Amino acid sequence: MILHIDCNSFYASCEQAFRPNLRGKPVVVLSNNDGIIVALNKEAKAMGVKRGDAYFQVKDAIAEHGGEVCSSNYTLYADMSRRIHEILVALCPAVEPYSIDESFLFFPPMQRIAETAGSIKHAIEESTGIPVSIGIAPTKVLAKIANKLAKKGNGILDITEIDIDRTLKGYPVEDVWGIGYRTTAFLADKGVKTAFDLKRYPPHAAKKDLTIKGYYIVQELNGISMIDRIEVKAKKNIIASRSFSHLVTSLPELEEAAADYCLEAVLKMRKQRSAAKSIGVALMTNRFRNDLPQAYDNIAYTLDPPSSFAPDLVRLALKGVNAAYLPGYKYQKVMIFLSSLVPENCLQHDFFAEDKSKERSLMECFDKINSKYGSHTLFIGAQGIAKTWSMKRDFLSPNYTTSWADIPKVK
Amino acid sequence: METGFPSPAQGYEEKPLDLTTLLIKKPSSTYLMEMSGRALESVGIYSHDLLIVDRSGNPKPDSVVVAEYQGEFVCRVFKKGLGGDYRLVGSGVPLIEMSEDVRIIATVPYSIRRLP
Repeated sequence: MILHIDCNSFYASCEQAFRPNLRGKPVVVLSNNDGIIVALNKEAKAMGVKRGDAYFQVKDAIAEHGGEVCSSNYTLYADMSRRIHEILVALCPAVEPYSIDESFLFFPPMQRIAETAGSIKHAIEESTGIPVSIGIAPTKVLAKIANKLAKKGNGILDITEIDIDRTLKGYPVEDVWGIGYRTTAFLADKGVKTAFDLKRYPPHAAKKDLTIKGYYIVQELNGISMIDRIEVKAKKNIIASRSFSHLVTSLPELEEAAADYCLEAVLKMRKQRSAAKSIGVALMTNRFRNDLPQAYDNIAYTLDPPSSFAPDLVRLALKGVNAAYLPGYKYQKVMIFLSSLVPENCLQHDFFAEDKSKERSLMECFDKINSKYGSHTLFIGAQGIAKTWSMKRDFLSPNYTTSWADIPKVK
Repeated sequence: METGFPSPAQGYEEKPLDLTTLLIKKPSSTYLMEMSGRALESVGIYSHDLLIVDRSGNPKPDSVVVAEYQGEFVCRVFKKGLGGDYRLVGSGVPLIEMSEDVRIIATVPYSIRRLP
């Protein structure tokens, strides 16, 4: 069975977790440079505020309702996401993070799966203060649908416990995971309007009309899991990790591996023309070796503005390894996470635009040489070029969990 | 070529003591906060002390807890009253009866103070 875990209004919930005065109040989170609203909680939605609204349009109304407008604090969100991931990994053997606030969990068939989901939900909400909802289904596509429905109820829904077809008949096809704008238009012409209509699409015709990906979605709607074959076009996260052939204790070796994986992840990211808002590094020992001391640490940095510039990312990856490393432990694995990816061409333009275009052409040249002559022809040698970008973040919350100066005060 | 004598301690080495593993049992649910004010001086917690705050699990009687109350985080002792009902108690501050307006969110297993 597959559990899809989704944090409710994740960015807003992170802000609220450390500000009790915002409980039950509207909270919106702004894009970089405080432009438009990128996230909002249900209280803000109830006021009629929408994603994409400009800050100045809503600030007075939000203030009147005792709510808060926040700049995006990716340092805080990354740390809360890391905590949630740690909790999930402790409760489920197979966790696949999908984005900063969503994960898929894979369980063998079991009795009373909803009870397990309940304890997972409780553990996350208790440990982080962030509400989550959980969809349970035999496939990812159905689990996403179950989750949407769960949000309307008590937060947990097992799709096998309800009349699936009746549910799918009331579920618009454009809300099915993986069905984009163009496919929706194509399907509408064929009279396919609901998830149920799509479920009934003849498989051989689906392959022909909707490409292989559409075929997988049809299969998943029919309860046939195509798990590893569904590739989402632009991933929101990229992870590069590998277990070492032998346990590693030396810092230089770990640094080399981290730089290598980081470049690998950057390459993947640049192929899909994205930039990362956050980079994380995790170091872990072999947890099946009960005879050895265990360590696990995960360090994340925010990128302001989002970056796809390899030297900057490698520099942070090395910094992360140094921060996470404990001498004397035998490490099994290094992981590099590039997360909260945004399309490169959507980056907010800024004062140093000229500088950035140089970086971009440098990286394009780098990519071309490496794709032509092999991925390790050019690599980052020296420490990267440090650039101090400044960004407008007038309503930035403190880094409650990652900065000594910012820890919450209690009376 | 080896020189000198092999260490007689070889094979007996152990990890040095680590305060973090002592103070933080559950890293994913543990946060750090700072005490502000004198409400807990009677239990030896002073203003500016560092609090280890664990959001997991339920408080036991007489444990120090963090609660959300009137839009703020407060730190108090979780006490059983004579009538068997629980309340949040501090020194020189009004007693807080448990109600819908009070949410206990965490317990405080340790506090840390820098000595003068």
